[in-house]
Amino acid sequence: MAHPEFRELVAPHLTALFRSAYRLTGNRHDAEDVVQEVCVRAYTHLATLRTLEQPKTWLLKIAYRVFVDGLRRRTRSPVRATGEELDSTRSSDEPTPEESAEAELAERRLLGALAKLDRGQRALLALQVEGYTVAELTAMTDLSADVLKARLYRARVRLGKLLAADGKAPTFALVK
Amino acid sequence: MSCNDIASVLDTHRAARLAPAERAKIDLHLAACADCSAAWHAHSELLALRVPPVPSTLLERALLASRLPQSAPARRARVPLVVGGALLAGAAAAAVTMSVLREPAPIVSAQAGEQTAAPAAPVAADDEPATLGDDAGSAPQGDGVTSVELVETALSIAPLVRRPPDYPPDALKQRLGGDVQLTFDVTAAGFVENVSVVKSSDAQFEAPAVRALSTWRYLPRIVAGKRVASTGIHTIIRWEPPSDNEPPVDQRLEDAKAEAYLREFVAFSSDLEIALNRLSADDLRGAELQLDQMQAIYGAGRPDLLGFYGYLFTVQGNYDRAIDAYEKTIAAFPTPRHQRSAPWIPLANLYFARHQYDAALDTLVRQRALYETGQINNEGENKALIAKLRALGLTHPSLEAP
Repeated sequence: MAHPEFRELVAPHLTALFRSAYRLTGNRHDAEDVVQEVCVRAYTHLATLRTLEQPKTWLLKIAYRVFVDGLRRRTRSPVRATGEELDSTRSSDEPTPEESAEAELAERRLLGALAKLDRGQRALLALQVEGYTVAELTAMTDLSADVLKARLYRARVRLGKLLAADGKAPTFALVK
Repeated sequence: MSCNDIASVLDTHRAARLAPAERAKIDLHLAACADCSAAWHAHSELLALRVPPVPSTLLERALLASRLPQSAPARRARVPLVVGGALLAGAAAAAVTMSVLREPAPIVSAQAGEQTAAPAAPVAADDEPATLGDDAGSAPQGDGVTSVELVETALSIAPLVRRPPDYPPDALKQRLGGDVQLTFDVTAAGFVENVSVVKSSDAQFEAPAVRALSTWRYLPRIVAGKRVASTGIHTIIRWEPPSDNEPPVDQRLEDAKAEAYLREFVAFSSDLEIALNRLSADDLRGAELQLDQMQAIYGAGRPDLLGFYGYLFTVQGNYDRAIDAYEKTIAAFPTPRHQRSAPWIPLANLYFARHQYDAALDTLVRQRALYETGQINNEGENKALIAKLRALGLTHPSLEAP
């Protein structure tokens, strides 16, 4: 009965996985694809998963690889949500429409800037901002702590400059 | 304060809880250092990104995806997949043919309380004339409860979600077919447990059979209005190697069809599992809503969906709607042959429970008419009901044992 056991092993980390996947990809569809792909790969290594003390770090390491490798096999995840939840991205504790519009604009700018980073940089930022320690990040990425810190810093600087450049440009331009 | 210190504050998630003095030093550095200022700004923007809540069905879908066959589908092998007893024709996605046997389940009196174990013999293969095993005679013969007052509500379990087992690679290479006979239990929530192999034609088929069967889901049997576990159910999974002498076909077209079919099958199964999970959690309304939604997506004429409605209405105690749904289910099967796997016994039992004894008898006669003379149909399942009807003076020549 591998399946119930797998569910038990993965279920506690689903939120962490999805949150990181969302930060990695910037949208729900791709985030779900990442989570599914992580489960597909993890399932084939059930024996390993079973023995781990830190299954979350291991699952996130797979998520990192899936993302950095470019989610090549996304066609194999035909399992999609239906109806109800695809459009309900926002939870009920919504800000006012104005705040929401402003936040959405900021989000779009951020996601646009993130898309200009390379996947490795982006992945480091995504996982770091989810609250993981440098030690956890080194375990996920197989980078040494020094290299990791240096890359994180460079990625932040680059993102900050992209955002600043974007901020100076007019947000809306009238098209003649 | 150096650039390294700034980086360290960010790396260690301390930016939000700095002492005022440290904060002042940082601000001083940020004002002078464009890089650190950019990094700091980027970090706070990243923190502000709102992450949507985890989709409620993500776990189910991810688990399902993890169990999909991982290798490329073998060419030109047929997979009639059975969902809810309905044979989905034209499948060509994976490499296994499952000849699905109807699992017999005894009809247990509501009064009897503890039910006996299911009979040990697989009854009717859907492709061949049924041959009853040696132990068929020991199948429960009903329990002598024939009083009109005793309303029978026990229904047989029905398979709902089946996924094909993997084809053992060596066997496929050698074009070796095989079969495995298994026994298993179904929990009251419809999960398969305690799978064990009774016998197999070849040991290499055993592991994939057990693995696949363990993921199957059933609509659990209903006894006296409650969903209950069933034990000792038998089934046979059969592998048939792809045939060599099929006419040449456009392989790409076939692959595309297989792919499309598999996609829909997976989506459908995953949606069906949502309904099953809600049913298991006694969220009957939620299960019905899910079925309604599925009807909108997959069409109103699917026997597997209609059969699920029949089951759900039965659980709700809404027998008239259940009867209506089951009649529609039977009508939705494309051919009389397919109709053999329709929910005849649940329907007949429901008619009996509603005191429509003629309709109950008629249902059994309609079922019997789908088989040849001398061919045995689900003897173990309907014997008890036939006996009860006979006790009421209701018989039909076609239902009498030869």
